[in-house]
Amino acid sequence: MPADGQVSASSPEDKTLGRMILIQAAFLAASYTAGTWLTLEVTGASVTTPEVMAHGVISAGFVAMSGLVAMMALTQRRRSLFLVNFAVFVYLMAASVTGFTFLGDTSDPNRITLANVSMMTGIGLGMPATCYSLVQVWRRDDLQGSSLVPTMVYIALASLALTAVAGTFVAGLTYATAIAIHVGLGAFTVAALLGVLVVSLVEAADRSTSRNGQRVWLSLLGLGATSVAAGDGVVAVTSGGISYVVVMAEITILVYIFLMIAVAAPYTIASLRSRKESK
Amino acid sequence: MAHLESQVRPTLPGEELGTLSLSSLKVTLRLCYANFVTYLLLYVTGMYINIYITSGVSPVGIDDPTNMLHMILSSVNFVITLTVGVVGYLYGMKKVAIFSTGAVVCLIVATIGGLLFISTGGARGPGVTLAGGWIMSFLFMLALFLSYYATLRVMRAIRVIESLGGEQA
Repeated sequence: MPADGQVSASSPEDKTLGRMILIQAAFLAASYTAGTWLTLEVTGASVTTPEVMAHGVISAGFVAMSGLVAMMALTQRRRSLFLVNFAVFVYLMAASVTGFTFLGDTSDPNRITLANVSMMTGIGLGMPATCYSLVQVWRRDDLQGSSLVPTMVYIALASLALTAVAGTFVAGLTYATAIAIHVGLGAFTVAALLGVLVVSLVEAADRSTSRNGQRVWLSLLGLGATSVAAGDGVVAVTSGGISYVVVMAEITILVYIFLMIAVAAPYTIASLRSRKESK
Repeated sequence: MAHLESQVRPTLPGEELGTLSLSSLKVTLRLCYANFVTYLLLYVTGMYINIYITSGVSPVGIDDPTNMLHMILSSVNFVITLTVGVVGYLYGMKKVAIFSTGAVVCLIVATIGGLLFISTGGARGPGVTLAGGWIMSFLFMLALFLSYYATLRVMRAIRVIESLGGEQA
């Protein structure tokens, strides 16, 4: 059993692939942020609009990194990792077609809805996929079946993704129905985040070490971010201010970031040193 | 493990065998083959757009089906070329890495040329539109040549390792 924070059974290839997955996750977060800003704040978008070009470049990075992780997994004979990331890659390319279609006629409401929903679904697929990939690649002892935290994080991320996707339907479905589904899924996300917190607390107490202490704090940060996002949502519904919707969406990505950091915790000087030495 | 295999793989002067296992090298070669199919389809769709759409019949828009297919294929092409480059870089095949990276750079600049072309009208117009089209076409061919050379290096490594008795060499 390795000491706390030691990365065990991870080859240099694993660590390189892990870094690629982190870059993929960073592109996912940036794509979501740029896309949300573009959807809610930019009117009269065209292929030459700076926000559209920025979103296009960042999203292309997300697509490319998903494909790269899939192909690298293929060369390393990692079947499940390849299948998950290849599915995300193929889906993202299909979603990009809806973006091109939208740019062909930016006034068509059907094209707008299709582009929004398909792209947000791409983000929704990417969230649990990147988390799964990271867990598979950074093979720590506590991530190999003995901890329930990764499972709880998958549930929380899937729920978060569904909440975000349901949020894009608010403009398309009956308003009350869409809001009810969005809020219900948001509540389930909070429940799942509480699950991550409880499991982290139980495991930290059970092992009598501080190895999951960081996960407890990161779960609390995730819960805090969710609360702020929910508050913004309530203000947006009552006041009608679109800026609150932007803030709500942008804060949502913080929950994803906290969970991604939590799943690979703990971070110690020893683990960081071992990663540096492996370069 | 690849890094352990490198300890038993002999170093031959003038040969660049890398540290990737033989089976993984074969997977990389298949990716290279898939890339050439993508290059071919990119060429066909590009020519279709060039000859049948932009030759005075009508300009091409970003939502034209052939154009969308062309852009999707370019994404696949970019990802595979990037993967081959990363494999070369990570597993000690310097020439594969350099030539694939060159191809990736060409594809990025070609994409910028394509965006210039499509955003300035997408027709056989003078000035920036024409320049964008030319940049795209020229760098596409250069990327194809560089990918071809990287593929040859991967093929060469496979042949040499096999002639030395595979992984037991």
